[in-house]
Amino acid sequence: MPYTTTAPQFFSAALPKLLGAAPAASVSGIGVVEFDLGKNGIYWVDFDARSVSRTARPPNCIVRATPADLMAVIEGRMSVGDGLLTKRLALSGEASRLARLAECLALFKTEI
Amino acid sequence: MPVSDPTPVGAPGASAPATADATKPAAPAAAPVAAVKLPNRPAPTTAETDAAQQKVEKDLRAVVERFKTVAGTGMESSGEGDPRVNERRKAVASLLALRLNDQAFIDELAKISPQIDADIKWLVSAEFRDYSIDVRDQFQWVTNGMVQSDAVEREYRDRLMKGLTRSNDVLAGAVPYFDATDGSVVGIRFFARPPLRKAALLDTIWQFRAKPQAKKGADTRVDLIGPPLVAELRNLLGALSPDLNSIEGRAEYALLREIVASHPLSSANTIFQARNAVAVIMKDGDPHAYTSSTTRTAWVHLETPPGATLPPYKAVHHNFSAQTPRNIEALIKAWMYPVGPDAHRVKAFDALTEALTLARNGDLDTAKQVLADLAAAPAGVSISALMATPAVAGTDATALADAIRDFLVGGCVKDLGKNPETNLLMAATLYRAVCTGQPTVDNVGAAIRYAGNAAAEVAAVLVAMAGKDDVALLTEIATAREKLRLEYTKEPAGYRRHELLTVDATLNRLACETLGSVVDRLGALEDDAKLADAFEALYAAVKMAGVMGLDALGAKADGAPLYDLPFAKLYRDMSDAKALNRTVSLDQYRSLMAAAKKAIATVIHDIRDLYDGRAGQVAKNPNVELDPEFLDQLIKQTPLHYATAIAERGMRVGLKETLEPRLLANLDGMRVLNSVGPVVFSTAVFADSTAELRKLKAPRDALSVVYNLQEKKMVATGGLMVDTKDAPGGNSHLNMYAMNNGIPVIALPELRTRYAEFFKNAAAEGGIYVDDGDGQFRMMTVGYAIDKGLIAAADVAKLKPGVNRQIKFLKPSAVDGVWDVLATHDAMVSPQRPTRVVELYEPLADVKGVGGSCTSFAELARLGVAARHLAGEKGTVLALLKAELGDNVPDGSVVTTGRIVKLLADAGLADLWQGIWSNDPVVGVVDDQNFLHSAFYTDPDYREAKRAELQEQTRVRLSRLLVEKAPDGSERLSAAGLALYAELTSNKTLQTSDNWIARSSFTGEDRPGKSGAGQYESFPNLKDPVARVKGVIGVIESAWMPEPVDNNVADQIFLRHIMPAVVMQACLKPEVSGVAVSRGDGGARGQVRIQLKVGFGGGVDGGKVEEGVILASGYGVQIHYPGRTANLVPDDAMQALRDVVLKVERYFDDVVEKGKGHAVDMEVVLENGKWNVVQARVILLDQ
Repeated sequence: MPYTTTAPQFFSAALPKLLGAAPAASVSGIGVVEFDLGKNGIYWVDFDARSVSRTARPPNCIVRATPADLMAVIEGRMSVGDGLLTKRLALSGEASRLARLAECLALFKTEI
Repeated sequence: MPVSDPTPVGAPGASAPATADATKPAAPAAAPVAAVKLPNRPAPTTAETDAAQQKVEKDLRAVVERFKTVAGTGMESSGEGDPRVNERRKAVASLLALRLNDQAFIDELAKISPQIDADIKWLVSAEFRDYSIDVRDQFQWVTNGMVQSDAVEREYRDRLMKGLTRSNDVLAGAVPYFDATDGSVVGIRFFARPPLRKAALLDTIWQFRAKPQAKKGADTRVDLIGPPLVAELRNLLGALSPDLNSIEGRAEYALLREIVASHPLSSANTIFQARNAVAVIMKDGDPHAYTSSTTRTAWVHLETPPGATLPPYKAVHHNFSAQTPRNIEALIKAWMYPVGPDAHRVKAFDALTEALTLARNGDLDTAKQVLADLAAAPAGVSISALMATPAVAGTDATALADAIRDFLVGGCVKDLGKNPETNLLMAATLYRAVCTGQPTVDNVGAAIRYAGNAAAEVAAVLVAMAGKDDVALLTEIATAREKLRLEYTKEPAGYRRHELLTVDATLNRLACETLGSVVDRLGALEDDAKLADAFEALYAAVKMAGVMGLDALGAKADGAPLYDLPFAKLYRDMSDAKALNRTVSLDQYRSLMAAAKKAIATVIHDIRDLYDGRAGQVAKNPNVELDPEFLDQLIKQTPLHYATAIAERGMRVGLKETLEPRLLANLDGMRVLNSVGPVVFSTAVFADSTAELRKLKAPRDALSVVYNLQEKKMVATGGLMVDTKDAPGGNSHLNMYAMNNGIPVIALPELRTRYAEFFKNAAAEGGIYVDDGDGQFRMMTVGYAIDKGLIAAADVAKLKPGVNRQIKFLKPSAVDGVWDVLATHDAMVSPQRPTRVVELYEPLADVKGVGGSCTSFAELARLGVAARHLAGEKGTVLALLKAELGDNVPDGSVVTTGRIVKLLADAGLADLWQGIWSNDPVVGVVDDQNFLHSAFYTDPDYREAKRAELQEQTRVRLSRLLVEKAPDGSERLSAAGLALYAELTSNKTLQTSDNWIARSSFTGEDRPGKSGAGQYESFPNLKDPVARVKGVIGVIESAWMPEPVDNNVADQIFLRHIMPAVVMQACLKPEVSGVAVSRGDGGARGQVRIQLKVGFGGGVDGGKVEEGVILASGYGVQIHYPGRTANLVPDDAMQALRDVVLKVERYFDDVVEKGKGHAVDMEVVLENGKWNVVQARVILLDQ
């Protein structure tokens, strides 16, 4: 349900489950993604290891967004493309990893 | 290069795509061929230039008449001097300059008043003359209550002697730079050999343009040192007569004109004018207020403006130096007119005070014109509040003067005292006297009088200034500068040469200012008129750059003809194109523009290289802090800076944009900032900033797309793509960095949003192929490039980013300290990329009998850099630094290349290691000529099999040789192992240490241009003899690990020439460790950039670090260590680290890479409060 999950809830509860259930092909090769939510903190998600952490790790990709904008992407209310276009979302990292990450986030949308 | 060469886009015969779709793309093509008509621009007529000269003379006479009875010498002490005397004398000087041989004219002038007569006598004694090095009593004209002529004479003679001593010091090798910190230049004349003289001139310019430093030591009163400073400069100019028919001579002319342009003083009268002007401000009309603090304007001698190092009064009167102009500029920018962007404040203040003077003198129209020009340009200057006042539109000159005065008073942040207008005008006078004012009708007019036989040409400039055609103005400036240079060659007198170069400096500033406005006006060259103007402006800029000798500066003085100099050739080609009915075809237009861009880039690169080549030596002067902005500023003060922008735009005119899913070409608004020819990137990495890029550790062969560029935080990357909005000017620090390192830099508009589909396709199609040569730009997926036959799959690896390399393997020659080339190999990627020489030292069994067994640092240090044959770079540098720095380097020994060869032989590995080169299945015996064709270099499967076998066998057989089973089943050293261990423990430090580290030091790593960092293994925390010997085995075995083997194969390094050495040291227990680089942001010398972490430093790359820069003035932390708010290390310890790092850099320049001026990258460890250097190597990429 849109607008029912907060970003902290997503990272602490929903995401670990989604990662656990995701097919290997969907999460492998993305590596560690740093989700930087500004003053709301940073989460490090290792897609290959399917783990979520608040401990700093060298990232392969970086996602910057407000919690609301990130959840809009996660819940499918805003596409990654629109997020980039409107500068509500910033993605950094190697091209193929970012492409896989975008696909994976789209997959989560259907699961959440 | 096995890359097909497609028809250049836009070239004759290239076909335009009928359609633009992804399935059947075609190369983009030019718009239909058109021609650019270059209109005739008639030069000013003789009548016009004569009239201009007459008006100048009339205006000068008006000044003379206005102040003809003002009494005084203009040199009085205690602030008693009247600036009006200096102003009058300046006018008299200008009138005289052109007619010094006309006695009737002089007599007529002298009759105006006794004061004018005295002025003439003073000028003949002080200004219109040279100063000898062997004649006494040359300063009798000095009549000052505080400083007498004999004191000035003494100062001059002291400076001559110092100059002689300083040049002798350089010639004797006692001092590595020519010392000009006190502004003394006369010593340069004592260098007979042109290369040394050139170096001394470069050193002097660096010092004139150094960062301001607080003055230490004795006062340097301007009335004492000013006259000798001017005298010295004229003496130097008179002594050197560069032959302008030689490259060497043109380069010397270029440097002499830069010396004059950078010199703080232009004439003796100017010294006193500045001195009197600042005193007027301080006294504020109170004749008894000399150095008192009672006037409302006492701040001028008590307070220091932000950005300055001294109060303005002291900077002029007591501490006059090359830094004085910066201090006075700070006065204007920070206090007198802190309005609008920093870069425009001086111009605005200069123009406003000029308009104020004009209006006050009743010249309403000219005053209004000055204001209108200022209001129109440049962007950022806002005088709208003034322009809105009724007085600006009115007809009352006094009312306008009052309005301008009130506007200026409103902008000033200091108390302007009882006489605000006088004090404002005196600040302007001070600025113009010391800093050289902006080019105006007045000072260009005055320049006519000093131009000698070029007076008519300078007058034509003045005529053109009054017109509306900025391109015509450029043409006239170029003509005048050419004539001035000719005049220079005919004038033997130093003071005349000084005057001519001063006129040239004024015209250069006018040229740069005009070119700047032309670039703004031309925009994207939307119409034919703008195309023609761009061509003519570029033509004038190229002519001026050639006249200035800029293309001779970095050229080799090897007898090459002058007509082969880059700008001579370009100017010829442009002239030829113009000569053809004054019509240039669009193809030819683009081609000439592209050639101009390339020639300009090459010259700029060479100039920067030339200056940078001396920076390392000058930085050793303890009294100088080099300005990291200097080289950028230097280029911006030439026409080249603007010519680049014009050429960049011109080379794309009429090219059609292509934006397809697999192909981007000639995009509107794009710029190629640095071109390297065809290149393939494995992938693209996107980052918001360069800091983020560093964090993401972009692969070296990736194209880095950075959305928000911080130009001076550049990182090493394969290629760089930035948004056009962030792209710096054509000659920026970023560009030079990119050019030096073969990094293509491309600026595209709307970078964040426009190319997503392309990059997605590139990720799926093997990467990105870019060809940005010849002014064209095409970027496509690798798959597309292969489909179109532009490259073959086999070319992809060869086209990876990077420089060409000439690899040399060196062996000792018969002469100590000189090496012969044993073998060489050129690893060429593209002729458009820079070529870097990589020197590797052949492994040897011993050097002078040393190195057959494990060798201590002390023994290796005695061999100097020849130890590289035995200990690799790391071992050699540590040994040398141990001898130099003592306690700051942990002691150790090296298992040398010679000792390792013995070990391999004893272990039965020699045949195996050599066999790979003597029995290759493809070429048989592999040698320096055929190694790239061998199976090992061409067959990945064969290579992998051999490599794996060698690694395994090395480990097994060395272990069998050195380690054995004890009766109790534990491991112990064999006899061979004990012998090796005994050699190591003969080093007392190792003998007494309970914890060792074995570190790789291969002969093919850590050399300039051949890093290899992190490829080989090191083994810390070795606690017992078996572990330590196994550490040695582990390092040797790592020779055949996949990464170093594959990297060396890709780098075309013939591995037969590479051998391991192993550095054995006590393992430290760091409190803090990290990396230090001996340069600050933007490559600033004297600063140290650091990354530190708690404990052992291996994880510095992990991102958990404190970052900052250590300056002489203190440590500035930029990023705190995660979880900490305080710095990891106290400030005094950081200063100690800076001292160590800079000492190491100096040592590298003196010994390790002599005279190369390289930055040094160091690994440092803080243990028990003491810094240890555990590795140091040259860093060519300055990040």
